[in-house]
Parts: sequence; C-alpha cells; structure tokens
Amino acid sequence: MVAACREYELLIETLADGELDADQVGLVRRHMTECPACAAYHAELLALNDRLEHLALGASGPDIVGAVGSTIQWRLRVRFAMIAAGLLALKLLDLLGYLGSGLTPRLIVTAGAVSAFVLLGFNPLRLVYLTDSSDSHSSIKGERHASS
Amino acid sequence: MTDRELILASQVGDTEAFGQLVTRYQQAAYGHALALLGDREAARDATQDAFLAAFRALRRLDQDRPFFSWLYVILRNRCYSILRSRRPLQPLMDGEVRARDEPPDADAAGLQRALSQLPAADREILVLKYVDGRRYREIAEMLSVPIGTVTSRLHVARHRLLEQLQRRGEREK
Repeated sequence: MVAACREYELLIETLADGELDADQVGLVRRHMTECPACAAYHAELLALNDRLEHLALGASGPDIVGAVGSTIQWRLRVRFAMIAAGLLALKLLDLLGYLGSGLTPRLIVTAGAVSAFVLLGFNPLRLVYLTDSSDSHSSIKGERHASS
Repeated sequence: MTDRELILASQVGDTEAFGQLVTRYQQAAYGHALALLGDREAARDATQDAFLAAFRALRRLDQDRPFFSWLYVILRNRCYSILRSRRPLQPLMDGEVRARDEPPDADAAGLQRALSQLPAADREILVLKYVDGRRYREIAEMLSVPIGTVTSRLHVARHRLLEQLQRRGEREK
C-alpha cells in the first residue's frame, strides 16, 4: 500500500471517487505530477475502485414477491378475523345477558366500525384487496413471471 | 408505471402495485443485505422483512423521496438487528461470488474474501459507493450522516480493505 502525502491523501481519494470540487482538481493533479508517491496512490485507488465496481455480490437472489404478497394477504385476513371474533364475542355476551338491552345493537355496530377502521390502517379501500385474494396473488405471481 | 404511481397505489392497499415495487427492487435490496450479513438465508429473511415493514409504513413515505433510499434505511436497520442478535451466520462459499459478466475468477473471489473480513459498516459503505455507484451526498442521505462522515468512513474502509488484500497477497507468497 503506497503512502501518500498526508495533506493530499483525502483529496486524492476524493479525486479518485470523482467527487472533488473542480477548483481543487487542478491543484491535486499538479501535485501528483511532482510527487510520485501520490501519483502511485491515486493509481492504486483507481485500480481498487475498478475491481469493486465490477464485483457482483453473489448470484441472483431469491424471488420473494410471492412470499411478500402472501404474507400481506394473510395479515389482512387475520385482522378481519379479529374484528369478526370481537363482534361475535359481543353478540355472545348479549345473548348471555351480560349487556344492557338497548345498548347492544348500537354498541356492536359502533365497535365493529371503529375496529374495522383501525385495523385497516384507517384505509377502508383495503377491503377491495382483501376480497380479491386469489386474483391479486396470481397477479403478483404474474408480474414475477413477466419480469423473469 | 413509475415508482411514484406504484407507491400511490400501494398506499391505498394495492398489493399488486406493491408487488411490482418488490420485483423492481428485490435484487438490489438482497445484494445489500448480502453485503452486510454475508449469509444468504439471513439476507433473504432481512429483505423479506424489510419489504413487509415498508408496506406497513408506506403511509409515512414522502412521495418525493426515492423509494429505494427509503427502503434501504428499513433494510439496514433489519440487517443490523440480525447482526446484533448474534444469530449464527453461514459465510458465503468461494464459489458463490463472481465478477459481473465474467466467469468465476480468483481476483473477484480474493476481493470478496477480503471484504468479508471487514466490519459490516465498512462493507456497507464500500458497496454503496463502488458497487452501487452512489454519490457521497446520496450515501449521506441514506445513512443520515454528514458528507464528511461518508468520506472519513470510506477512507477507513478503503485502508482496511487494502490492508486485507496486502495481507492475503503476502500470505500467498
């Protein structure tokens, strides 16, 4: 590893990275014409940068589109199952007489609406994508096949 | 569709649109996770987790911000969580790396081995700059650090890599 002049080391690295300000490029290049050590350091950095730029980190990675899509769908379904279970629990309590008579229908509707709104992430449009389960899953897979 | 259009659609729950974003960026995300973790299975898990977290957090995405820069922050946090958990990681075998568009060669394998000996933070900054080809400013935004920190981290990482390469060269003699 070549040792460059300390005051020029970072400037040479920035130059090799193509990030040096235009007004400093001339200064550094002039110095390198007079300093073989700095010129050699610059060449060493360019060679290393070239090797790194041509490096691919492993073979192609796994296709995770299907797995991500399935998980998202599954999580939405779980949320709806929680809503349904909560509403059923309220109804059961009502049937068993644990809730006030005039209160229950309004309570169930209100609780159902609020929990649906919250569990959908305040976005009722997600209902569309929940019910479109097989088609959207196929669409995600279709995108994967189309892109491959 | 542009990234912006896909993001807007995904934000209202369009899983198909989000699937297109995943298709578009999964390889880049996986490559970065692999560089940080050095383990294929952990990299796949981190990539998958990052996309799932991104879908949940899409509402918070500033639509003018590049999607991958934002995803990278999530991915990076996930990778460092895995590293901190000290989960046993299976290092890449020599035959699993290659130079782009070239058959397996000793040079690329040697460089990969040297990289694998560096701390994760060093590998990360070298990959962002040289493998990804990003500018200092972009790296600074992705890592939420000043540009000066990017240059100093690159300086340290580069020197460590050169020392590793030199050490291996001396060992082979």
